Amino acid sequence: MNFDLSEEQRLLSDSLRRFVADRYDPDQRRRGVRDPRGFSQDVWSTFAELGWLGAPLPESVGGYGGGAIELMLTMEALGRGLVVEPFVANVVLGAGLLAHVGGKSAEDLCARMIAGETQLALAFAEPQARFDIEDVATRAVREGDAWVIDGRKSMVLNARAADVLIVVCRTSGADRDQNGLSLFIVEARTAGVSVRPYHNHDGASSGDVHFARVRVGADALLGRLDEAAPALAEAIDRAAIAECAAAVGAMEWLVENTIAYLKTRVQFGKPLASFQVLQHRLVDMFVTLEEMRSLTIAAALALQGGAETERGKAVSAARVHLGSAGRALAEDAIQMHGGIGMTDEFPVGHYYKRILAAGTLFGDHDHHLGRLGALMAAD
Amino acid sequence: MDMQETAEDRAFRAEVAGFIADKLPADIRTRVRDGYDAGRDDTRRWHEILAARGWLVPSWPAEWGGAGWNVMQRHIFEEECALGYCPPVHGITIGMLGPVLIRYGTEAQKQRYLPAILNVREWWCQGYSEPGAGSDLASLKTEARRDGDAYIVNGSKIWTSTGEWATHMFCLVRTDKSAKPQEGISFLLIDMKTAGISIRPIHAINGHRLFNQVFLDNVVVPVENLVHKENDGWSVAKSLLEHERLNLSRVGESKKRLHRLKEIARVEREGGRTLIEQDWFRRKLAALETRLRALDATVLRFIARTQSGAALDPSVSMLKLRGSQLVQDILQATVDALGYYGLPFDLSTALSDSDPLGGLADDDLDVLPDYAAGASVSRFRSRAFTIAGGSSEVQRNVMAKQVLKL
Ligand SMILES: Cc1cc2nc3c(=O)[nH]c(=O)nc-3n(C[C@H](O)[C@H](O)[C@H](O)COP(=O)(O)OP(=O)(O)OC[C@H]3O[C@@H](n4cnc5c(N)ncnc54)[C@H](O)[C@@H]3O)c2cc1C
Repeated sequence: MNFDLSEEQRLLSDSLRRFVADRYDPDQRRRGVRDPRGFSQDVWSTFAELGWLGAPLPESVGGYGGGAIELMLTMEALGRGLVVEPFVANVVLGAGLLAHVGGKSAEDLCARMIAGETQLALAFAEPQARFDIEDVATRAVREGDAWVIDGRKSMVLNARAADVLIVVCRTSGADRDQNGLSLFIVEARTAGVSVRPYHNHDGASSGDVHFARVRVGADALLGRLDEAAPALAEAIDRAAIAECAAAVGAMEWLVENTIAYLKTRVQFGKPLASFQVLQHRLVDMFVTLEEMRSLTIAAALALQGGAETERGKAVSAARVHLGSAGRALAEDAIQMHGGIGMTDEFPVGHYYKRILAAGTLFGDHDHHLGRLGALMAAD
Repeated sequence: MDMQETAEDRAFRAEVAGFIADKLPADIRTRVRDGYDAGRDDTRRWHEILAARGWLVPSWPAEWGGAGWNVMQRHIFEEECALGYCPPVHGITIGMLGPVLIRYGTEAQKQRYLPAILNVREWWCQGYSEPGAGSDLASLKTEARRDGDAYIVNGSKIWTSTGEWATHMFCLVRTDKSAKPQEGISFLLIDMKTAGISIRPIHAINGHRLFNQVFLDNVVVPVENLVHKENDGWSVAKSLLEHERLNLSRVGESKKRLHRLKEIARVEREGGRTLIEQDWFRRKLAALETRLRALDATVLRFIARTQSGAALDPSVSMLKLRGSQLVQDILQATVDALGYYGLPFDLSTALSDSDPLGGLADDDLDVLPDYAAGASVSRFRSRAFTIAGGSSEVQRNVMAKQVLKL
């Protein structure tokens, strides 16, 4: 057993945290949210130059050989800084899936993403599917040498800026079959692709994407026909844990700053931190943070080498806790700040929203509670 | 024992429901149903409709426009208004300032201000909280210095809801700095157009301008605008918080919101079936319904006690304590029911004020079902319910001391 970081891991974490502390203030964040592409290219180029886009990716696709722990450290720092730049869409969902499937075109795309030149997005969710990634009604049908895609995807992170979309399509079977899913690489500018963009409440840029008779070549198929489900599930689990780690970073900030606030805020002639009921709640917040950290580490390790069932259980447990205790932590932080916690100009509310969004993306509390129960029953 | 409504109560309920079905404008109803805050225009239109029927200020004495209803009828009215998606009436004006003037105001003050409320001409805001005085309201520092026939007021008030459309503010000010904190406070009526008043908007996490900071810089207030006695404003302030305490349960609102959640659950799907068909979701609904029923029956017990003439004891705090949290949880469950569509959000209001670059014009929230965007807005807004109007912690402190005598 060893929970220590390696020297390189520590350096990665330190440099990211320093960047966020020194260079990612609320104005910088707002510039990203307001940018027509949903993030600041300056920040993104810095990420590329410092090697952060390749840090958790294998060397086979031009990454630096890190894994889920590097991903976790990165996301903690980004969550702590409320960074809106599309790291999960590009690195975890996009390149992560490309790396898993492999092949020449996938490797080329990864290399361009790692260099900061190409923006990726994964179109997997659909309005009727809720959090079931195998509920896919978007179809790709063979017509001669080409594939023709029809359907609608929801919550496509980074949809606004993506140059290339990886689209999960049904190529055989019924709408909710596990088999029969395939991945296609679609240039965002292809005729028939239309993006309906929106922002999430935490500032992330996202959108629905409609595919109306979108025609792509035979080479657009990524990986094996009909067999995308396992790779997709792995990528979504990885993203789900990336969001847990971002939430850990955000919780860290909330715990530190709620303690600091209650130490200075005086009512009834003494600091609020001297009231025992509030002390107890701060203690609970702190313990929840440490539990979330433990569950996230355990899930990251399971992602790195575990059997599929163990991976699923570890990921779902972390998600369940994020959606219950983690959410309560964020609500308590607002409550204990009083009126100022309700304002848009004070950061607490933004951290609360980030934790809520993290708890929804890639499966909410209820979804993962069901999944964890099913996995336990199958054992 | 009997929890049934009487035949008269049922007839009254039907009368109120019929009136709402008849008179509430459809556009307002839709906005309220979809979760948006009622702005000044919707509130004004609704006030005019209620005033025309004589129902704007039902709990005031008949001579000032009251409807002469008993507690149960008032409760039924509140509940039907919530269930019918009426915008809330402006509580600060009608539930707070009105009753205070009726109890403590001079005849001249009543004549000057009450008709203007009934005619929907004037709106009030509440100047209690200050940056340094929230839960500990008695530590407030805004001072009023007597100068001949006037007070000169200096200081600042914060979290002032609807300050941007109020014509007047009722304000707690310190008139004696040497007295004990609660003994040197006075209650003043201030015209918002008076020189020296400026307002800074404050946007909330739901993207709306929920409140303001009001700065008072040598504001001249005529002595006749003092309510009750100088240095005895604390009794006025406290009495104001005691009005309409039964409404603080938000029980009607919770019923409405839970009903809405059920409607949404008949549309939202998982695994090819609607949420309402799923066992896990039904259990969530049932857990909320249980809490709602506990609240509802407890409210009725308080009403019965009041009807029989007993004064409300401090244990009534339990209604706000539980009721505020219940609405929050129902609203959060509503957003959860939307799956991924609980995330998209109109950020433009908040961002356009704090940043000169303009709105987020290309956002396309039309892709969402019509109930989604507003659900998110109300969920964020509801975080305030456990903070404002006596926080949950303060309610617990009150009950620990005054009810359990700890
Ligand atoms: C949406 C909204 C609208 C409002 N509208 C108005 C308005 O129109 N006019 C107006 O005057 N005010 C208004 N308020 C202000 C409201 O009354 C205050 O927010 C409230 O009194 C709490 O004060 P505070 O915000 O300064 O928090 P604080 O008093 O600083 O409290 C911070 C936290 O500490 C807790 N706490 C404080 N003391 C204790 C204690 N002794 N024991 C345990 N816990 C404690 C509180 O419960 C809270 O959780 C509004 C507030 C909100 C959120």
